[in-house]
Amino acid sequence: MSHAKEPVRAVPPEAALPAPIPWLATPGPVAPLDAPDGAVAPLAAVVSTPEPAEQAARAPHWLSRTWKRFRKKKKRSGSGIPARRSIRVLVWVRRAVQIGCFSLFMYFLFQTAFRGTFSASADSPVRLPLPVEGFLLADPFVATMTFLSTHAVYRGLAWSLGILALTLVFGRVFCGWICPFGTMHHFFGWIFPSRYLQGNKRVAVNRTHWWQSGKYYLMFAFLGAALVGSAIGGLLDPICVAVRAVGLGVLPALQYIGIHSSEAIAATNVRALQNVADSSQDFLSRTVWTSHQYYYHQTWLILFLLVAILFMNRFIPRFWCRALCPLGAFLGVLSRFALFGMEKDHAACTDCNLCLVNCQGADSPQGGVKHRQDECHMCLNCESACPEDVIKFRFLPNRRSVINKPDVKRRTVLATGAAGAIAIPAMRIANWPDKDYNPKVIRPPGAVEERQFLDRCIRCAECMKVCPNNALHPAFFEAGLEGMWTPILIPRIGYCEFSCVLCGQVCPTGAIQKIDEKQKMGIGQKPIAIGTAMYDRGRCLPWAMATPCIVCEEFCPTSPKAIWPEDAEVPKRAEKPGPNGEPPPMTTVKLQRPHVDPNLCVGCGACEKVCPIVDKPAVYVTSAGETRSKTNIILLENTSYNQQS
Amino acid sequence: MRMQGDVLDEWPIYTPLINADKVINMPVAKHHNLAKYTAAMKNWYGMLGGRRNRLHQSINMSIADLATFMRPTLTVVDATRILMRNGPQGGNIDDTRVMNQVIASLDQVAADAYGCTLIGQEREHIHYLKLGHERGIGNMNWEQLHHVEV
Repeated sequence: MSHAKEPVRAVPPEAALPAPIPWLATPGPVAPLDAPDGAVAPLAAVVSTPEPAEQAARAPHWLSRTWKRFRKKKKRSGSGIPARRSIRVLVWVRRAVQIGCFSLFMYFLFQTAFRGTFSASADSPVRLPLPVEGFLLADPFVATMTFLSTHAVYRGLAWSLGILALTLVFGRVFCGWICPFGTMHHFFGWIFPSRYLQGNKRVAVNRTHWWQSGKYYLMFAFLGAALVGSAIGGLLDPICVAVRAVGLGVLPALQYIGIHSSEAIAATNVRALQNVADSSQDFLSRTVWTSHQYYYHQTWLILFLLVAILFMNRFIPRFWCRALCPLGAFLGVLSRFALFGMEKDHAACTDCNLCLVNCQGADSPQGGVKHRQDECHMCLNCESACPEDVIKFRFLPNRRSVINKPDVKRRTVLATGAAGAIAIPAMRIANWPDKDYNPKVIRPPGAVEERQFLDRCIRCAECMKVCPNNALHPAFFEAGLEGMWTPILIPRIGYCEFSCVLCGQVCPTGAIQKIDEKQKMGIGQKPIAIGTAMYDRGRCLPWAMATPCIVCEEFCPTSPKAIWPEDAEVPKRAEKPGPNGEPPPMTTVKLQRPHVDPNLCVGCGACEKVCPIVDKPAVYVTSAGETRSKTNIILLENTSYNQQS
Repeated sequence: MRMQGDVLDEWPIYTPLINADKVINMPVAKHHNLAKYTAAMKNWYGMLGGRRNRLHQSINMSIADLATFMRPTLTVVDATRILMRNGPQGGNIDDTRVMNQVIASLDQVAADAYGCTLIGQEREHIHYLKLGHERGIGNMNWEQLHHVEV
């Protein structure tokens, strides 16, 4: 940044010709002030310059300049005391861990898909080999929310104890080292503001601001909502946001671009280009892309919010992590017990603000103020940057210059928690699932009863990402304001594969139970129904238009088939009128008219998907008759108040 | 591609099959609720793109059109295990029967005319066979042809 540039400009004039008035030629504070202490470093640079000067005769000017800048060791300002070796190593270890965790997250996301074919029998179950929902299972905010709403910890979420333990020892290392969404913000906080947020501006923006308390209040509101039975906090949980926005927005968009650009390349008829495009598409379709182009219902908002929140990094680096992230707030509260932390030697501080330039969490690492342990991401940049040996990270630091409690007011905490708790009933009286059934809220197979479902569903979109038929979509307002981005099945876009149970396999909170193929297909038991198919006889070809069809029956996967055809002879009018202008003659057509047996229908929506009437199909599925509900029932024999929901 | 059939005039087609020197058709014999029995001639549905489920509105004519358009060098029907009812996708293993038969023929109409007897259908009731016979694609009276049972 500013310090990297100045020496480059300052040194070559000195080397080339004797500067008559050095303090005028080098206006910056660097050269004159440094002379006694830091003399070694600039001299070394000067001595090495003649050699590249020869090169410069041959190489282009810009190349030699870049080379010099690259070779030159960045001189530490101030006293220039180097950071401890362990810290310098740890900063690089952190970068490696960040890249590793982010890559693992992306790899898991790519693997949250099934690229093979399903068999019709239950004997060859399809399971994902990797724990692709691993990052969500390790998320302590998800665990706490669902614990408050269900009073139980879903088994897989025990992994989050690991992150909890890590936080109790090291503070918010999760935010600075592990969180894939945090790493995205770290990256964009470095790329986006590179020209606009330097020096003093960057120092100012990286000081601790009052609005950083916002995330704590947000977290307490979500925990209040969880207490009254809604895991709605998943809307802003960073891992959920990352899976949802990247999985449902970024990846399908990239696939769209990839497919269309390879088509454009195929049209060029340049053999070499076509080969490259073909083989890269081939590789991507086996590793990253879904089996076909997926479309997600109303994802524009999800993608827009991601772009907006990433773009905020241009003005405030890691704005999300500092101001909004409820998981970061949760870990911030816990970090007060951390055994590892910062000590500062305020007397040694020269207010050079290098620590602030590099600070990620805006946690006041500079001298003269107390360090904010709860805001610190433990990135260690400040100690690495400090030229005066002021900052020291160590175990069991003295707490004199540390504030480790979040800067929140008790009354506001209570008020926001209460607001969250009140918001849920307020949203439910506007849209109560038991009173105002929306026929479009078809939940995935194995989903628990609606209120329990809202207890558990964190809107992470894992089920939508893994669905092999692109059947599951984030609800917009179909399930009410509270149910935003919870999964619903849209059969017109994709139907529920009869022998597939993958959505339950990847659900991290048990909102969709881990059912097996026998339960799903009803082998030795009643199959799990997610809804029932209904005919719109006014639009159905055999029913309304004397035209044979019966594609729905063909695709019905249950055995025996829930759709059964009735043989019928129906009158049909000829197309043309008679020769003397008499009305068109009548004929009869033999055809089959489809019926649904509501006892056999599982609501998979295959019939709706394949109905040849594309815009508004003549057969469609609604949630009526779903197994999970005790009230949204059609048939008397299914009305059992003793059955487990 | 233009197929110039009665119902299939123009339709998206998998072109490598058209460009091939020789085509061997290898269908699976099945019951079909609408067409009663399907194997060789209906297998050409598989080379069509587009919303081909609309073809069911005139399934016999479209099968005949496709078989008129595509004349394979050889047809090999897999009848080792046949779906007897609830076709074309039954979802129940009880609906299948192991037959251990393979029908190889130069004449796709004859192959289907013989094949339908395996699931107890009569060739006279399968309309697309009659259409194919009338158009001269093949001979539905397979007994008249030279045939060998192995």
